[in-house]
Amino acid sequence: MSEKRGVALLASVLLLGVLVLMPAVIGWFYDFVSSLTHQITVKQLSDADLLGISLGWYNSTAEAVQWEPQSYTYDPDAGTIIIPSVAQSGSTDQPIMLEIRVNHTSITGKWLWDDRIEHIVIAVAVSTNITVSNVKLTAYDDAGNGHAKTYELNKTGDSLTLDLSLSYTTGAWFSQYDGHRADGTGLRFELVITDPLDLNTQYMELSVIFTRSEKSWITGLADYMLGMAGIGLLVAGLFATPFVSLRQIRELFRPRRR
Amino acid sequence: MAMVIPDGLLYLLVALIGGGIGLMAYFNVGSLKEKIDALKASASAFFGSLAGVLGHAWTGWGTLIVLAVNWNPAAILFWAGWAVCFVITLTNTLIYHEAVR
Repeated sequence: MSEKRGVALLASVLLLGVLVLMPAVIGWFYDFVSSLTHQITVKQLSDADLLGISLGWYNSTAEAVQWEPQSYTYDPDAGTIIIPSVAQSGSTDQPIMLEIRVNHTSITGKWLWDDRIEHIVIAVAVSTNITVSNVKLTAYDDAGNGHAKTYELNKTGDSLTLDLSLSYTTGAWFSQYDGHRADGTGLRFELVITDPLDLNTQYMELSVIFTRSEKSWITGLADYMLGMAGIGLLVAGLFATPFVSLRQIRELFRPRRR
Repeated sequence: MAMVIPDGLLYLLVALIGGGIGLMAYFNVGSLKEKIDALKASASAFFGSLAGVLGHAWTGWGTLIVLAVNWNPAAILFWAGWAVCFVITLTNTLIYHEAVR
């Protein structure tokens, strides 16, 4: 293979490489810089943001998942949602699901991106030990379709902190989902509880906070990197034409002889 | 209102872009003179598509399309730069049979 063809092939591979690796490079660098600073709370879920809390369990008689709305109160001082007595009207042999639905006027997938949320921290305290195997985070579009990312956590205890970390590309993916206006759902959390399978009459406290890096310039870092990469590609494109070359640039800055 | 790109369409787009680059990679080193060349070009496009799809599954680069269609200025600048690079190298490849002149 001639040297020119080798360079040409390299150009194709580089084009694909830049495209594929760019979000990963930005994400890694962004995460690294962000990890050097503290996280600040952007928002804490309050009763005004909530559409409802339900408990889902598989009813083998009806052969369907049965959703039961839960009664709750909100403690504004502690920012916690309190379910004084969980209602589960039957037992099951399948994992049970705790669903938290959030109003689209306050929190949506787009909001997560626009406010550069990096972590969603769910704190759960229950009057008995529970095991949460995973948390499903679903963002809704205007057609009412849910788009979910699942976080495998496998945590056990009576006081759990569940950290959902949003990467750069996950945030970008969520940015297109602006909530389902017809029924008002913006986001939905589903905690899958594998043990115990009956939470009836248990006391439960929940809090959900949304955090990002405390340094405001870091939140814009990914955009700057992406924009600079675009400018770099524009310049590289110009150098691929016969009109601009490194030799011409060198000649431009070379001292002229008299 | 945000524009939604269904996941299936997103995967199709990343496969098409990857396939386009795969074709360009082939025409940088070969041409369509014999029947076997068409097979080689198709194989190159296929592996380009595969690299695009696997790359998206790994890094999520297709979400840069999502950002651009939702008017994120940085993503638009990135795609503009990338498109200029791609069009110039593709034009060079097709007309002069060398990507970088």
